[in-house]
Amino acid sequence: MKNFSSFPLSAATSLWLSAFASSSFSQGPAPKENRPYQVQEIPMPKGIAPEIGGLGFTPSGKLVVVTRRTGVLMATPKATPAEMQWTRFSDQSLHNSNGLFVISDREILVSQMPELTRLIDHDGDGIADEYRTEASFNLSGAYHEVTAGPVPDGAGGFFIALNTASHSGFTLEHTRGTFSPVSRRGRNFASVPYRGWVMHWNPKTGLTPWAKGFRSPNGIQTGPDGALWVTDNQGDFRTTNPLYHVRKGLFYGHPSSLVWDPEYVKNQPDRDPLKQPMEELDAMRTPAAVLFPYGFSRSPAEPLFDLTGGKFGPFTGQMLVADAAAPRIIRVMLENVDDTLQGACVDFYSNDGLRNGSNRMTFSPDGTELYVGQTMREWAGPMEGLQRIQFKGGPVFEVLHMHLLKDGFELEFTAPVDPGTGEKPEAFETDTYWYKYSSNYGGPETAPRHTRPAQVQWSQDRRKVQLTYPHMEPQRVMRVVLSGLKSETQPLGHTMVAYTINKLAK
Amino acid sequence: MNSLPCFLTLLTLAPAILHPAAALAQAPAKGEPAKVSMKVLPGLIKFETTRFDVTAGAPVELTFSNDCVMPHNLILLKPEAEPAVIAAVNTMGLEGMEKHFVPDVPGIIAATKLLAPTQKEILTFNSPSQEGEYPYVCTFPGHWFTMRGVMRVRAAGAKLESPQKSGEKVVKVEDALKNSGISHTPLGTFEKPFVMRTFAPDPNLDPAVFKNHGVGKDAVKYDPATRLDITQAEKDPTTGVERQVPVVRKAEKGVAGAIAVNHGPEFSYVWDSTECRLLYAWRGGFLDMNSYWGKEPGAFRPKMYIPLLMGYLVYRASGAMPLAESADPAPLFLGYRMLHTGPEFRYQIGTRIYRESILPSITDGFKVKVTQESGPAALTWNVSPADTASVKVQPEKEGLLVSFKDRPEPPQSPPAQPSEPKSKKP
Repeated sequence: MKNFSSFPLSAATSLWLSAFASSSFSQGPAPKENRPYQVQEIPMPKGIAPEIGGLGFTPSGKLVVVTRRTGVLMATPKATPAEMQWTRFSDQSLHNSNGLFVISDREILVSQMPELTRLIDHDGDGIADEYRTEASFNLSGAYHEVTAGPVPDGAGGFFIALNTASHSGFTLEHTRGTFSPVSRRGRNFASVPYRGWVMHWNPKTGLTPWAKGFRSPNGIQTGPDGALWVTDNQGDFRTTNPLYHVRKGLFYGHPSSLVWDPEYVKNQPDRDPLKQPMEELDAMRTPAAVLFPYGFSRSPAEPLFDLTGGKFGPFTGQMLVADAAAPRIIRVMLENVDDTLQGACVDFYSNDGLRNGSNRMTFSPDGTELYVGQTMREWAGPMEGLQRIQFKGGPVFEVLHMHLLKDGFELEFTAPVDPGTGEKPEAFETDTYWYKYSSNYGGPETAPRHTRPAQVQWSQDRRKVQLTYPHMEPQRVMRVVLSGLKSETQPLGHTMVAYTINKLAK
Repeated sequence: MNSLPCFLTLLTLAPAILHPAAALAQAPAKGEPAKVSMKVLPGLIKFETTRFDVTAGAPVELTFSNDCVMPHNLILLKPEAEPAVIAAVNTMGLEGMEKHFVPDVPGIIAATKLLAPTQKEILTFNSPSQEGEYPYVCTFPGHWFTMRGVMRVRAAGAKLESPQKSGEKVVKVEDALKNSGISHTPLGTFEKPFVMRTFAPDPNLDPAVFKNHGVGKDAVKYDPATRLDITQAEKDPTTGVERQVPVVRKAEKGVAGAIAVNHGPEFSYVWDSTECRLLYAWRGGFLDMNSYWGKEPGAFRPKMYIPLLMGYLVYRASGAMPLAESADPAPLFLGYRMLHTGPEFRYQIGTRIYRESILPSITDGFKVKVTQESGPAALTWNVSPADTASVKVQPEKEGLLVSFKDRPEPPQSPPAQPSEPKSKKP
C-alpha cells in the first residue's frame, strides 16, 4: 500500500479518462456499406469449439484453423462464409493448441502445451495420420503455461514463446521438467525450465533458449526484415501491455525466468530474482519498443505484418496486433531511431462487429482479407469465433506514419487534410506519461503531464504535419488526440496516436 | 408513490425516449430511496452510467445488473479511498475471488458481490452526508482502469442532474461457442478411438512411475506489490497464542503430458508422454471435462482444469518403466501414428526406439504390443511386482505382446478439486 501513495493515482486516472472517455477514438463513421473495412462472421461446423489457437493458409489456398480443444480444420474460403466446406485435418483434442505454421497441404506444425507437434497426412486423404513430436515443453501444471508460435526464423527454424505459470493455477506433485522451489514463488512464475522464455527450434539443433524475461507472451511474429517481435500482457512486472523487439540472449523484464539462465545462477544456485532490487532488474532489462496505453489494449495477442503490397489498404509493411480482451485490432507504426526500433500505436479497427478475444490472424493469399480467430478463456469470459475483415477499397483517411523529430513529430496521412482543419495546436491535445517498472500487478500512468504543440506546420500537399513541442524527453509516451481533421471525403477515422519514446531523435 | 414503479417500468422499456434519470432528477417521495439502475457495456469493461447524482444523507437503492460476459462488481468509495482499495485488491491474489475482490480496508461505502454474467444485486445504503464526488469502480483485476464512474452527492434541495451515460455503443456478436453444441464428456467408439491431449487425473499412482518428473512442492503465496510472502494469523493449537503463518498453496495431483485415449464407454487409458508408458486404464466412461472447459458452453470458464475420471479403474501402473534398465537415460517421446487400432506411440530409450500400441478387449483385459524399431539388445519387459498375477508376456514377431487382465477397482469418488476460486457461485 505504501508504494501507491507515491503515485498521483487519481490524477493519472482522471487524465486518462479525459483523453478517452469522451470519444471512442472514432469520429462519425461513414455509412456502413461505404466503409473500407468490413467484418464478416465465419461460422464453424457444429461440434467444433471455435476457440482459435492458430490460423494459416496452405499453398493450395485452404484456410487452416487449429482450435484449442477440437482439432484442426481446413476449408477453401468462399464469398459467402456459410458455404465454406470444412474438413477435419485432425479430430483429436490437442492440448490447448495456440499456434500453427503451415508447411504444405499435408503437413503443419502446431504448438500445444506440452510440445511442438508436426501433423502429417502421409496417405493424402486429408486427415493427419502422424503426430510427430518435434520438441517437448515443460509444464508445472498451470493452465497459464500456454505457447505462442511457431513462427519461422527465415532459415528453416522456428521461434516459440512459453508463458509463465499463474498463481491462480496450481502446481502438480509431479512436474514435467525439473522443479525449482525458488522460481515457484511469484505472482507469475517459472518453476520448470524454460517458462518465460522465447525458444528457438530447428531440426538440427533441437530446442534452445533464445531470450528471457517474458510473462505472458501471447503474440510472436518475425518481420519481413527478420526482426523478432513479441507482445506481452500487463501484470506483475508489466505495468502495461508491451511490444518487444526480441534479440538473442536479452532479458525483457519479468524476472522469474532468470533462474533458468546458467549465467544468472553461476556460482549462486539458489539465486532468487524476486529478491533482487528493482533498480538492478530495471538496469538489466530491455525496454519495450511500444507501450500500449492500458485500456486501449487490454491483452495484446498475435502481431502480423501487412505484406499484401497494398491489397489490404494503405498500410503495407506495418504491423497489426490482435487484442484478446477488447474488440480491437491495433496498428503499429515502427521506425528506427538511433539504432532502436520504437514507434506509435493507433486503432486499426474496433467494435463495429468485431468480437472481443482476437488471438490469431492471417491474410488471405490474395491479400484482401484478414482472417481473425478469437478465444479468451477464464478471466475475460467467453469470446470465441472466426471472423474476417475485408478491404472493400474506397477512401481511407487515417494517420499513415508517425515519425519522431528532434523537437516533436511528423504525422503523415493517407490523404490530404482539408485546409482549415488541424491548423491550431488545440487540434493536437497531447498528454505525456511513463510506466514505472514495478513488481506490482499493472499500474497507473506515472508523472502525467498535459501539453500541446507550440507550432503546427503543414506540408504543401497537406499530407504531412510537423508538430513542434516546447519540450521533448526520453522515457515518455506521448499520446496525441487529433480533433477536427477532415479529408475531402471524410473525418479522420482514428484519432488517438501514442508514441513510445525510448530514444530521442538526434 | 403508486405511480413511481409504473413510471420506472415505462422508462425501462423506452430508454431512448426518456432517461430513467428523469425520475431521479426529482427527489423521490419522502422516505423512498432514490433508485439507480447501473448496467455494464458488455465486453467493453465499462459501466453504462458514468455519473449520477444523489442527495446527501438520503437512502439510495442501486440495482447493478451484469449483462456482460465477464464477472463484475461495483464498489462505491469515499473520495480519497481509491488508491488504498486498489492496492489492497492487487494483493488479494487467490482470495480475491472468494472475497469478491472487496478488500477489508476502510473507505468502502457499499459493495456488491462479484456478479457472474446475467446476475444482479440491489444495494441499499444511505448516501454520505458530506457533499462531494464518490467514485465507484469494478475491482475485478484489470477492470478498475476503465470500469469506473462517480456518484455526486449534492446538498439537500440542490438540483440533481440526469445521469451521464457512456457514449460507446456495443455491437452484439454471436456467442459462437455457446452455439457450438460441443460435448464436455467427449467419447470415441471402440473401433474409432478418440485421442485427447490434456491435463489428466492422477488416481493416486505409485510415485515410482513418475521417475522422470520433477518433484513439485507446496508453495507459499506471494504478494507482487510488497515482494513478500503472504501470511495469515493463526492460533497456535497448544498455546492458543496468535501467530503469523505463511499461506500455503498445496501441490496437486495430475499428469501434465498425458495422452488420453477413449474407445467408447468400454475402455479408456492414459499414456504419458513424459514417462513413455501406460499409466492407467478404466472402463465405464471417459473424462468429464466440465472442470476444465466450464459447466456449460458460454458460461464463465473455470480455472480448475484436471478433468474427472468417469467409471472405474481396471489397471494402474506401478514400479519402474518395464522396458528400461536402471542405467538408462530418461525416455524421449517421438510422437505417434494413427493406426486403425488407435495411436501407435513411438519413443526412444538411449539408442533403442520402440513402438507401442494398446489393444483393448471389450469385456476383459487389454494387450500392450511393443516392437523394437532399432537399437541393440533384445526386448525385455520387466513385470512390476504388483502385476505378476495379472500380466503375461509372450514374444511376438519383432517384439512382445503383454496381456493384462482387468483388476477392477470400486469407482472413485470424485477427488476433491483443488481449492479454486468458486467462480460459478460468486
